[in-house]
Amino acid sequence: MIPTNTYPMQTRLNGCREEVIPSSVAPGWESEAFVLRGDDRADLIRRAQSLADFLAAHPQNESKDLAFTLNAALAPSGSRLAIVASSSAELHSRLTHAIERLADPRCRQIKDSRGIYYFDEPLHPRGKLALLFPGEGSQYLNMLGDLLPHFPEVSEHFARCDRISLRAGQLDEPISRRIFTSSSLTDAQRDIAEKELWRLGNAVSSILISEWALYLLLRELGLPFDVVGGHSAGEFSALLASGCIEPDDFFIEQLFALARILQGQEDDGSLAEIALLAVAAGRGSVVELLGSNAGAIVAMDNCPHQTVVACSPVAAESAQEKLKQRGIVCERLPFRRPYHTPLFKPFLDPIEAMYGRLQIRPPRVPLYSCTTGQPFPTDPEAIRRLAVAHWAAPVEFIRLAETMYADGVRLFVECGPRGNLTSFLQDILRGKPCEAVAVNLSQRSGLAQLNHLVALLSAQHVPLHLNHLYERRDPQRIDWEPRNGNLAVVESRSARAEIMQQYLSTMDQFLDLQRDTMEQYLERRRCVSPIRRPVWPLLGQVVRHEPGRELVLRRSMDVNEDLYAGDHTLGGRDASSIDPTQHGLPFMPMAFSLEMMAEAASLLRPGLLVVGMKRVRLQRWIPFDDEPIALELTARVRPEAPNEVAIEIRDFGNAVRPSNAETPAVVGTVVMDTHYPEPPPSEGFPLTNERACGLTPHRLYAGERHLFHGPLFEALDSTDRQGDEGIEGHLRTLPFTGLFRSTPEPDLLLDPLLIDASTHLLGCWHLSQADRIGRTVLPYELGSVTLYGPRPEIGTRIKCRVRIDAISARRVSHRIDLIGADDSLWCRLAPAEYWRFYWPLEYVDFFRQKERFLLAKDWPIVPDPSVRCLRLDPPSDLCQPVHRTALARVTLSRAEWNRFRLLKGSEQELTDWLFSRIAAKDAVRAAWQERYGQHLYPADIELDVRADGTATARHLGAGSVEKMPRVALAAIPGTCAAAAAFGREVRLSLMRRDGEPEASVLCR
Amino acid sequence: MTQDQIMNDVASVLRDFNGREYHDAIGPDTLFFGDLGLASIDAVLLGETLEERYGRKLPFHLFMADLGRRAQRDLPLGELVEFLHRHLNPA
Repeated sequence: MIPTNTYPMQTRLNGCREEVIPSSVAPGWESEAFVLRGDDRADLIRRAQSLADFLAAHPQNESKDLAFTLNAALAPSGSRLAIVASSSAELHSRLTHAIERLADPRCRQIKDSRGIYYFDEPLHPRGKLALLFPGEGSQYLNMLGDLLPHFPEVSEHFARCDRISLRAGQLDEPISRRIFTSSSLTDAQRDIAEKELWRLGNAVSSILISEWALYLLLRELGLPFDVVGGHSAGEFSALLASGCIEPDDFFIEQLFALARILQGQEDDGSLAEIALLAVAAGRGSVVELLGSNAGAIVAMDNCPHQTVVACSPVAAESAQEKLKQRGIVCERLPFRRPYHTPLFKPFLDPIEAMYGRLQIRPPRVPLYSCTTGQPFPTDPEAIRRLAVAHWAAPVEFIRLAETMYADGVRLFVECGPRGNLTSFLQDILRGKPCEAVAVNLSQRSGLAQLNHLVALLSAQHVPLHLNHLYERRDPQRIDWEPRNGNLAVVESRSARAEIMQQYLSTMDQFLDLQRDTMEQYLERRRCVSPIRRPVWPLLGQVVRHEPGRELVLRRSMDVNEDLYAGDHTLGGRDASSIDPTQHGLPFMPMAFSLEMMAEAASLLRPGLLVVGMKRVRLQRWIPFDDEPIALELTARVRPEAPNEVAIEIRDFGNAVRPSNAETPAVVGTVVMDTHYPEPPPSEGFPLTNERACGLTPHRLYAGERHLFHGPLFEALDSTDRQGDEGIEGHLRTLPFTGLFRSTPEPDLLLDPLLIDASTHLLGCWHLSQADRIGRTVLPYELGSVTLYGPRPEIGTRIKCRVRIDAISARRVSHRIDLIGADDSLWCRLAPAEYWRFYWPLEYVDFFRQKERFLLAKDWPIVPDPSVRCLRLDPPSDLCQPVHRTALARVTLSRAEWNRFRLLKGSEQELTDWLFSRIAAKDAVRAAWQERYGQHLYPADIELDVRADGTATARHLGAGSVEKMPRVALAAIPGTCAAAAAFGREVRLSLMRRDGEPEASVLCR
Repeated sequence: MTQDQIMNDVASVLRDFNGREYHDAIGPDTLFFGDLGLASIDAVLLGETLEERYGRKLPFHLFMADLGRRAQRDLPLGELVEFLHRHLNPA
């Protein structure tokens, strides 16, 4: 993955390169979209008034946080008001205006240009939504430049196209240099840059690149579209969006090649020179007026107020004069290509050849033709013919729009820069119930128009994934809405007292009933024999045992014996295509530490049941090593509380991985008794902004690999519902077979798999939050664990509720309830305290799918496109020894891992060693992917690094080094870098100057 | 007609124009594209609407051509009002 917000765009300024967007910190947004929902119009007015009251009382609130609070919890249907505003004061003013309008029953809709949107009868979902792509003429200098720092999918696409444009040799500089200019250009320089952008080759490629970048943004926003269409060259993008053509590197290469040929035709004068006139009148009037003007041909029937005609330059003069006399606005367009006229027919060969090289499939989404104004055929050859013919046939945009409307389309989204098609559509469908909106306008900033788009579509009830707007902005929820309790203040005291009396009376009846039920239930439980003859697998050898007082155990922790550890690996699973057993760093699950404590306490105090634990603190994680490590457990009965056993677990490590055993890794107290405690009465689990969970167990485990657990731990059965306060799902108790090699059927006191799986549901809630950064959570403390009965039978379906009790920048506090089929609580963990880790998103993505994502970022310091230079700044959270080791397990080959494992050095040296190799592997992977289109796992590449910083890379699957690029790597504290090139020797030096890293690359 | 009268006319047309409302103050500095969110086709429509309002043809093609030649293509309404004032009150 190319990180986007650090991608420095090259721009044109007096022939020198200048970085316009150099910062890795995205600037703030000048406005926000706020979408407010009510169950109906009256409820919407009430909520709008509450929000206005809140804003009046809290004018300093952060707009981003308020927008996130409203939008992330947006439920479907209802009544919606959407507002774009740049401050609390502006939002308050617009809300006040909207409330006044909504209070008037005659008001059926609000569509205020400032950004206030409300529709009594929303167009979605009863009307279809069309995605439309504009063609040449939509490009403008710096288009989308202000979106780059905010949306990785946009900047990544530009970066990708830059690389391809250089690699394919079609351009002598990155295509983005033709689009982005410095703001300090003089008018003359700007004119030159604009003319360059309007040259045929640049025009076609820049417009298609830009609209595909916007398409990727809309895809992240989850925009649902029913049909697609394209205007002129925009038909290429429509073919991609409909699924007819694969939007891969090959297509982009072909696009650049075609652009170059078309430009060549224009430059060598082989294209007939014509003039294009945009006439502000309908086709009929224009034909009538210019009919006698020899050679005037309609090239584009855009809308009733714009027809583009082509004619010879001489004829254009007289046509313009004629139009002027009639007072008709006419503009001569700044290009002179005769396409969309029969004059272009002799030049169709390169376009036909390009389509011939592309694999065409039937459209997955209905695709409309701007040649016929009708849907495309589904036969690939017929699609190809019609797409080629479009270039020599008039653009029939009015027909396309009218057909789409007749086919039920009511919402049109223009996916491209400038917004021309939106104006055409508004003109064509004037007075009809429909809506056209552009993703981007040349006269508005990119973010402002995006907010208007989001607001308008949300008000029209188009479902959008609005969290995407906040994913990299660290939003916070704001508690803006008055609670019911506050509202009750307006009730009279006597009314309140009466309500309370009724409530208490009802509760008394309920508790009586519950008491009877519980007594019967407990009687049944007491019949369970507390004494077992178990095979407890985690106890190990008894070092010292004073019955009833103290017990010391030693347990060798061995990945060959503790098979569960192999399915519980930090850094995720599947690190290699060659070795399916290579996963992340195995470490002891907290639930297995609890089981070990329970087993030890039961041995020390036989005859008592483990009914809970207190203050269990994980002071250090316990990672496994390739060789066994030693744990020592000490259990002491607390003299002042004989039913409580204090436990300490120390990690002695091994010779290779020593550990500080002076302080225990885990401490806690096991609570024992003769009976399980009485479970509290069952209670509801109301959730604010309740919604379904998008992340299913399949997506979490196997599909998108969000969790690092293997099959032995996959006990999450369903993710049912979630809201602001937490999440509810179901777990299924799994068999214990296969957890221990020497004990195929262990007898576990707790159910560590079930307890561990409750944390998977917890992770699911965090993964569903918009601010994905800081959502890597790992446990460090359990305030209490309470068991209300013996562990459930294998195969039982258990309801699990995770409530979020408190959240801060570094910690999250939860309550976890495990509830049996009879709706009684089996186990409660509260508080379950977790650390939050701020792994950069590329690391989170990488740990999920190691072959797909890079950790290092493009560092375009070398003008030669055949050299890939990447930079990797080790993030502090990933430099912690356990995390660093996990990273090494999934990025190094077995041989490299064996070296790293035995390496001696300072923390800095270990970090540099590892991260510089990761950077080098990423440079090799990036170059390989670019040349061959294949994704490689870093662990499948082995580096032979020489003292001068050059290295030979070998792919372990192929074994050969000949095909691999050569690579050089370097590290200074805080920064690692690497450069790779095929068939050339590469050298790299890295230094820090004025606090900033600088690299120089030599390539021969 | 004074420029103020024309400005009031233009503002009343744009207050609810082509399916879009605008409820902030509209004055000479209000931008046709940037503030009102309108497009070039809307400029043509506005021309037609004003011609109807004033009951005469106005040379909007000249005004629009000039607009197209400028690097900064947005249109402060004051310029439109000046143009209208010039042609509604010929010397």
